[in-house]
Amino acid sequence: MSGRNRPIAISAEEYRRLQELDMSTGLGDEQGKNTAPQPQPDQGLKIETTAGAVYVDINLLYDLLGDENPGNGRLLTALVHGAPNFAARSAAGGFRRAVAMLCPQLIGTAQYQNQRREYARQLLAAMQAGIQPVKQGQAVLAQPVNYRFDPAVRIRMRTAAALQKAVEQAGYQYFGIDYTDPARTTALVRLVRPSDNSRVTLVISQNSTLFDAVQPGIELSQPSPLQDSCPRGFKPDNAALHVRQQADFEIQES
Amino acid sequence: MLRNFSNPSNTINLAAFCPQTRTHGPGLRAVVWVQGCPFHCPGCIAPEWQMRTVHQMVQVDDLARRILSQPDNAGLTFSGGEPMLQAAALANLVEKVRRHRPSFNVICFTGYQLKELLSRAALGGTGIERLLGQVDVLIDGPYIDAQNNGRGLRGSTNQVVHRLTRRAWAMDFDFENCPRQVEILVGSGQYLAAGIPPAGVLNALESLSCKTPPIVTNKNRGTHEW
Repeated sequence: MSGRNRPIAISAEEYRRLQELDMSTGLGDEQGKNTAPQPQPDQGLKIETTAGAVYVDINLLYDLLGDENPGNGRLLTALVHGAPNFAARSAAGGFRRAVAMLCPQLIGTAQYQNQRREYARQLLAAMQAGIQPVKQGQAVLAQPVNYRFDPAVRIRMRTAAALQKAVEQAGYQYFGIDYTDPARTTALVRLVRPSDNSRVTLVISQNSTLFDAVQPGIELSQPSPLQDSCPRGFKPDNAALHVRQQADFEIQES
Repeated sequence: MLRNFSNPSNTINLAAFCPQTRTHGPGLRAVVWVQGCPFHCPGCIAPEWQMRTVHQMVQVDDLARRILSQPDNAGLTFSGGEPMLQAAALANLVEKVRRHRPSFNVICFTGYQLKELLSRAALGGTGIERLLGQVDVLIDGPYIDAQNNGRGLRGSTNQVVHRLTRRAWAMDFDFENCPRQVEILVGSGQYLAAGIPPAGVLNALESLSCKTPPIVTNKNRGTHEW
């Protein structure tokens, strides 16, 4: 009476192709090959995992999330323990200090520019797994991390893009995007229809199942004002959850 | 005739579960959709949940635990499917939840009319009297497509919103005329729509619906646990 579940049409061929992609970085070219540069051990913040150490550039978190996001300070605190300046000062100042202390050699280099997106993706994956700080400059993951991006994430993105397109054809307009947590593991893409003020929200999780994502206590914030359709900190070029930017989805005609 | 499933009162034949949403009443709340409905209303948005077959049997204790794991939830909504077919188990579920959260409010959709339920409840044995005793807001009556005015938390205007308790009257929520909203929980190649769909949304979503079996990417989790 008040809900329904449905499969939508993603072709079996598309599904197979997505599964076969090398998802080690979440990036891939048209043929599905991973073209992203790999991080080097001497660059960035060291994160110990049970699978070995990985190195991420903390400045890339700044790039990824934006300095206006109030959650950044908390994320940084979790990443870099024992550096009170990072937490006490503004998020932006904290990030710049972190970069200056942890990986000054990268700032302004072409290498940094080329690799920052890859670093940012890795750091996002680390955050999703949960990070426990141990000492300055290092962090230890609370649990083993598979840095491979789940192929299902891409399928969810295509599903979401198809759904959003269909809803817009019913007279809805993109309204804004909110996140349920600072790490942005679950996105709420909001659409409204001015004629009756009805609302549709797409709830999209980067985690393996939406059920898991919703479990910790989703707090659906109230919709932003209309003029705030591009919320603070949101950057279309690197916000993986902004489904409108996922132009490469394919919909099978049913 | 109102018949109960043969499942015991400590299990629920679940169609779907959403641990938290804002689309089924005031505040954040869990939604339990039960499997099986005798009405087959034309235009029903969930015909796949009408079949009176075993879909996913869950223990009442387990479901209560999952509902209580959401500290921000203010209430619980029953829909389906027809909740009154599993009234005893749902009543047990509410009792268990309220043991820990006495203020939890409960909304229940049903295709039956309240007077019919009351007469049935008087006979006893179905759990309906116990469930009615737990429900704060009952939205009753079958869905009639021609009377869907596109507003409120009811599917059509023939359905009546019964505020059965003092707690219901204290709710600051316009059940009859609030703008409709739907949350679409996006899975891998599938979705779950929670809420009373505004006009046109269902057709739009239906245009994407697969005529082939769903793509299931995580079989261990089950496809209906959201």
